[in-house]
Parts: sequence; structure tokens; C-alpha cells
Amino acid sequence: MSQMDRNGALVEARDVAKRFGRIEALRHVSFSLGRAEVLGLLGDNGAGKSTLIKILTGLFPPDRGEIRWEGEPVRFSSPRDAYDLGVATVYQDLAIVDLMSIYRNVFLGRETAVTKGWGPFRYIDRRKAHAHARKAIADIGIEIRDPDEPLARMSGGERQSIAIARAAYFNPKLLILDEPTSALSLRQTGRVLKSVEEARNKGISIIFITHNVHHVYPVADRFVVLSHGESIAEFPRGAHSKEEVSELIVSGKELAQKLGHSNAAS
Amino acid sequence: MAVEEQAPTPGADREAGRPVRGARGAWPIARGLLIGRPESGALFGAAVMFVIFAFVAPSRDLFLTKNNLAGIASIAAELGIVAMAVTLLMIAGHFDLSVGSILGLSSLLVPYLIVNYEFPSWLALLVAVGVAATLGLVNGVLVVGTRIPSFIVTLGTLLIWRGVVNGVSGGGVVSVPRGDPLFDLFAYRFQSGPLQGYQVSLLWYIGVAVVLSFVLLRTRFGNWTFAAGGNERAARSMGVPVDRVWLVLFVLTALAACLTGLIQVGRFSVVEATRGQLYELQAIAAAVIGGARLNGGYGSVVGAALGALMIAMIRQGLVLSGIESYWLNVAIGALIIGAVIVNQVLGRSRPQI
Repeated sequence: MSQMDRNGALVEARDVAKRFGRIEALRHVSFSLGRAEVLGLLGDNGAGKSTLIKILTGLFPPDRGEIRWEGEPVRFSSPRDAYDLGVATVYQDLAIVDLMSIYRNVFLGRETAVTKGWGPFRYIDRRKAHAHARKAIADIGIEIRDPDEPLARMSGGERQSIAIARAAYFNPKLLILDEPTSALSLRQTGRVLKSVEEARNKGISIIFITHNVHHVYPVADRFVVLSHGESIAEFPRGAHSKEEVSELIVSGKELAQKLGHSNAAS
Repeated sequence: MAVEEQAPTPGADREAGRPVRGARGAWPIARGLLIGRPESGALFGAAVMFVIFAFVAPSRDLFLTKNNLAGIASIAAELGIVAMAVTLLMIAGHFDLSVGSILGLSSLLVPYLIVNYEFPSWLALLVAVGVAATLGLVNGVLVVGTRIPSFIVTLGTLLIWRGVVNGVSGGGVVSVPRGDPLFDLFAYRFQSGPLQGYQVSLLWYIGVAVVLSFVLLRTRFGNWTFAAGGNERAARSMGVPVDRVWLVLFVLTALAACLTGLIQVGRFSVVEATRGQLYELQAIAAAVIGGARLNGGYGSVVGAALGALMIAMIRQGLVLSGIESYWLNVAIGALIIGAVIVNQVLGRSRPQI
């Protein structure tokens, strides 16, 4: 299993560690993620999830260990580096502007994808922007009524899905979703999970971060459990029941060892 | 939601069996103008005001005269040019209270340099423009660099530049040398043709409205402007150079104030030390009447132009009605509050950018 991943993995973390002053945010974190795979990254508050995301998105490098990208070790010196390689992130705050329309949000900061003209006379091709926004959102399984509608009118789930659609539109290889469902109702969660599946079907690898296994269980191919800065277990779906995974998140290392996870021994 | 809204519209397309969405009948367009846009309230208000002054008010016969209309156009143009730039800045999340002082200072510089230092007029104009741009940049750098709210920064520069104007002019007036053809660029009165009797500032007004509207609605910079004021954090995390947007807009606002200053230099024979005083408040009033949101993220260039037009109509309309000018601010104040209420009601039904 791990041999196969090593050959075909898109991204791999090997014994990554990061400390802030006296606090060891990450101690031993290893996992690998294949292409078009959904990885559920699970852990309780303070387990190190957000530190790990920040390393993966290039906000800061790890102190120890390495990140491999398509088999090669990489060291991101800025989020731009990570983005250029194909890492897109949807943060919890979604980075959307409620007063702006859907299509303006989709192309925010990347307007040149839908501009025409030359130099100072470059302008946004509204027809193209509308069509592309509509398609980007349809691609992840959401019907929108009107790309001119402001985001303020969308439900929480729709807004999350639009943020995912925006990230997926620019063809990333890896999409990192930070707690995409934590503020949503059950029905809205279902909608977002559908978007995640559609993004995977486009061939995008996804890291889905959550503390609630019930949210990610239906879509994840594999899971990594973080506890106190260590990856204590990595396993495919079906290896453990939801209840066992929940137990792992809460009780940590001892249970992982009992269940026979070698990661925990390191 | 949009479909539900559209269901009861009496569109001809629906009767023809086609879906209403995308219908381009007269009604959807009219409805879009009336309730769909930030400037809808101002458009409606300006139309109502025009009808009242032109057809209902006792002085209606005087209102539609060429003289009066040209006067309104002139006031609206001068205020509108500043208000439109102020609106862009407000959409981006900032205020510029110093526009009146910048207007005063750049107005003053032109005759001052020509009269006292024998500058050729073109050079005096260039210096005025350069000084205005610099003052705008100073506002921008202070705001971006210190993170002090722009309201405070520009309140400070309002006082500073007004103080400079007073100091340089000695609190008095500087007379403008007449007959320089260069001033015709800003203050020519058309002698013939369809615009006979109107000032050339009308063309500046329309030109600025077209260009800034296009920039706001159709360019990358416009998208950044909305985003910077709507949600600065989101804009930054999407890679929008928010600080640069603000710097550019502070300079633009100062240049607009300078343009209006030059128009007035050409139109009046003197520049007095109070030139442009309280202009900042009128410009913000026009912006707000035009649908701009005080907290940023929402507004319209055309709305600000219409807001300035409404203020100009009230001003001239009251004069014609023989009401003393002391009452002007009462009317403008009531207009601002009324406009915000109307915009809120319309905004609830459908905000859209």
C-alpha cells in the first residue's frame, strides 16, 4: 500500500515537524495523497491541522521533515509558490465578498482569465465571465440562477460550494478545504459533499480537514488522524467504522497502537 | 428567487411561451433600471425632481429656460466630477474629506503663479495638477502606511491645505488674468451649435462619468475597488493589491478636485480663500444620494453624477422660486436622508453590482 502510494502520490509529507517557540505544533506527521483522491484529515482542536495546512499552502516551511510534490522534495517560500504548483485552498472564511455578484467573486484576483483587449484598454468580457462562472459552478453540481446575483443571497452551503467552484475552476492539482462543513446544516453539508465529489471527478486531489468524521466519511478515500501534532493513523475507508475513527480522534495514540497503526510507534 | 420575482412580470416573451429569464423586453430593462441598480433611487429621484421643478412649481416657466438649464449643468458638472471620484474611493472603503481644500489650493496656485511669478499659464496648470496629485498621494500614503482611518487623515489634511490656502492668499482673493485660451479647455461657453449657452464642463462631466463607470463596472481595477471596500481581507487573500488600489484612488480623487478647481478658475474672475470649502460634504452627499454605501463595497458612478444633478436642481430651483439661499441646506439635508431611506428600501429588494 505505502509502496504504491510513494510511486504515484501527488503530495506526500514525511515526518514533518514545526515548532513555534516552546510549542511543538507538529512533531511527526506523515501521510501521502494520490491523484483524484479525497483525504480526510481528522483531528481535534489543537491537533495541528491548521499548522499543517499552512505548511502545505506555503505560508511557512516545516522545521524538519519534507514535503514531496509528484515525488520531488519541494520547499514553498510563499503561497504564490504553492499556488503556481497547483495548490488551491478554501479557507474557513471563504475569502468571498458578499456584496459582489457571483461572477465577480469567481474571478476576483484572476480577472485576466476573462478580460479582452490590450494593455490599459483591457476590460472584462461580461458574457464570457458569466458563461465561465456558470460552468465552473455547474461543474461542481450546483445550479445558479443568475451569475449577477450577489453572494449575500446565497445559503451557507451555496457560498461554500461557490468558493470550491472558484478554487476548482483554475485547475489546481490539490484542493485543500479547511473545515468546509463545520458551520452547515445536514442538508447543506450534503450539498458541499456533492461538490467535493464533483471536484474529485475532475481529477483534483482533495484534502478535507475536519474534526467531525461524519462530515467527511461519505466522500473520503483515505483518512489521516492527527493528535497532539502527530499523525497517529493512516488508513483507507472501510478499515475502521465511523465510531472507531471518532474514538481515534478523541483518545489518540494509545488506541491507535492498539489498532495496530505503525505511524503511532515512530 | 429570481424566477419567483420574475413570474408575475407581464412580459410579452412569457406569453410567447419562452422562459422569462433572459427576456429582453422593455419592461425587464425598465425594471432593472428602477430597482436593480445602486443608482436606481437617484435616477427615480432626479426624474421626480425635474418634473416638479419643470411642470409643477410656481416658477416652472423659468426652469426650462436655456439660462437656467445651463446653470444647473454647470453646478452639476463641477460637483459631479468630484463626487464621482469620491464615490469610487468610498466604494473602496475610504473617505476623502480634503477634496475641498485640494480644490481650493490647486485653484489658487494657477493665478498665483501666473500673477506673482509670471509662470506661463500652461506651466501653472501643470504645477496645479502635479500638486493635486501629490496631495492625493500624501493622503493615500498616510492612510495605507499608518492604518489611521481615512476619515481622520483627510480631516487633518483638510485643515492643513485650507490653512495653506489662507496663508498664501492672505485670506483674500487672487484675481485671474483673463483671455487665456488655455482656460477655454475648462471653461468655454459654447456660442453656437446644439450646446449653445452651455459650459464645456458639461462635456467633462459626461466624459468623466463614462470613463469612471466603465472602469468601475468593466475592468479588473473596478472589481478590485468593489472587493477592497466590500471585504478587504478576502480581497487580500485573493491576491488583490488593495494598498495600490487605495493609493490610485486617493490620487484620482485629488485630480478630480483639481479638474473642478481649474473649471472654476476659468469660470470666475477671482479665486477666494474659501474656494471649495464644504465641497467635501456636498460630494459625499451626492455619492450617498447616488446609492453609495458609507461602509464601502457598494455604489455607482452614475448615481453620484445624478446625485450632483439633484443638488444642482435644488439649488437653482429654490433660487428661481424666490426662496432665500439660507434654506438651501435644509433641502439638501432632507434630500440626503430621504435618499438613503429610499435606497435602503430598494436595496432590500435587490442589491446588485
